[in-house]
Amino acid sequence: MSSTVLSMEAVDLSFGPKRVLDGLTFSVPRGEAFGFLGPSGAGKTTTIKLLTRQLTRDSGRISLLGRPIENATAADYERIGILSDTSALYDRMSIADNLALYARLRGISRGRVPYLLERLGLAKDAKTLIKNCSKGMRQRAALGAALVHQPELLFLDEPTSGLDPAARAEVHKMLAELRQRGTTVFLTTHDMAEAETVCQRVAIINDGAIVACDQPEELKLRYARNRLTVRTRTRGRLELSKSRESAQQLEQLFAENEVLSVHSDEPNLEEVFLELTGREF
Amino acid sequence: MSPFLRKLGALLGKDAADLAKNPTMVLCVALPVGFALFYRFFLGDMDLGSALRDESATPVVASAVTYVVLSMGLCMSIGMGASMSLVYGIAEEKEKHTLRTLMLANVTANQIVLAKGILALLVTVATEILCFLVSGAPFSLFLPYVGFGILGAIAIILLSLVAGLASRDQMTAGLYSVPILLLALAPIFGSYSSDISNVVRFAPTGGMDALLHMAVNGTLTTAGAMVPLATTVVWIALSALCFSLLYKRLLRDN
Repeated sequence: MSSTVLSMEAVDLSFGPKRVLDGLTFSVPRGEAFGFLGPSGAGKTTTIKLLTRQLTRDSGRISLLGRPIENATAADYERIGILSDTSALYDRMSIADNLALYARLRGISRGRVPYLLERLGLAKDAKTLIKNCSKGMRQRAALGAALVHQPELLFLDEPTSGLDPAARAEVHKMLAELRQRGTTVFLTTHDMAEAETVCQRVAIINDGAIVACDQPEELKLRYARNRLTVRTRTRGRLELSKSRESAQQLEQLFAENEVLSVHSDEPNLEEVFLELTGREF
Repeated sequence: MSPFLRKLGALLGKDAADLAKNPTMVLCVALPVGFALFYRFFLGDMDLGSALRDESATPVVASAVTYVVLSMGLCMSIGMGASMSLVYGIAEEKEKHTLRTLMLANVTANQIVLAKGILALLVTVATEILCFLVSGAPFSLFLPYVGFGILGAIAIILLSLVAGLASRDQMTAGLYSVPILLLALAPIFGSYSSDISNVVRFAPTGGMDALLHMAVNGTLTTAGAMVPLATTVVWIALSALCFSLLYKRLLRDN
């Protein structure tokens, strides 16, 4: 069995004259949580649509669960769970009934529904109709529908948008557990903190092309500005590079009792993105 | 159980539960029954035979009333139960993205369409039966009535599936469902004049209505049934052709 669950190789896609994906190449090994980051309109959702056969590429190769996507069977898609940006459940049915429907569609016992409700923090709202749910509750219920059959490969498009911090943390914990059990996660998000928490590797996409792909820590180190910010008593705020000369300068400042505080200016993924593209999220 | 049947069963259960909780759809089913009840007592109470001072006319008038009530029950059941529930049902699923969510859960368009078509037929037949029960018609007419109703519903269901898939949202569903509703109700308008009657007997439900008329009058013969049957079969064939030509294209557009 191939260890690469998902891969794209030189994939292009255009909508009319506009090229939306340009030579996209990456691969995701089994059990990895892979983050796909980028600003709105960069091509994140389009990539998920290609990987889930909602769109067809112009050129290039896509492999899904170890075989070319055009050869993927219905049985292969039973091993996949998808939470899209428009995933929605039935308004006039309760959360529990919606999850039971998806369990039945997937051939899973509805006995798994109470466990999912508990894990998603929806147990006490199980009988609430979807039309009476908050956005966060709907999002968690839709996530439950995508997880009901314990998929090997999970596509999540902005899974925590609309969730409060506690619910978001619970979803992150769930995703960590899924990954530990070997589930491969392909996650698109705007939330850089989420990507750092959940993903082992991230790809940054801009204007349809991947501009960087690595572990979050590696990306941060690679694009680190290596600066120290020093607040002094009389000389204001100083920015020093992490060099021998700066160390001497800092030592001098300490000797003169000038230093109020020293901060290492660690970059985050958002700054890495800015560095790479010059665009704001 | 095969995955196909399992999913079909799940979709049927979901669609039935959803329909029962949808006030608009419940009204669509209740309306034909209400009208059948109203017409039965409204027309029946007029005792037209006596009013004409011709007691011998009473059985003829009773037969005419039975036909009007049953015909209206069939046409409205098909129009409201089949076309409205399908066109609005599919459009609502598209508008609220539940259809896409289902398809991302490895449910095929064929399974969704089949489940909706079967449910629409079941709802139509159930509504037709309720209309029959409140109509006071002799029970000897029950089997032909249901049989003709099923025949007449097939073409309308196929056309409604196409209209539902073509609808972007419930607003456009309102627009697209009107011509189908009018086609389904066409035989009712035939009672207004013989000219209209001559046209509407070639409507999708016109053949069904003509067969019902003959059954109520006791004039249903193999020879007489040929033209209405042929009309119905031609409409079913045309609707099936239209569905098969447009189905894949509509799926691609969606």
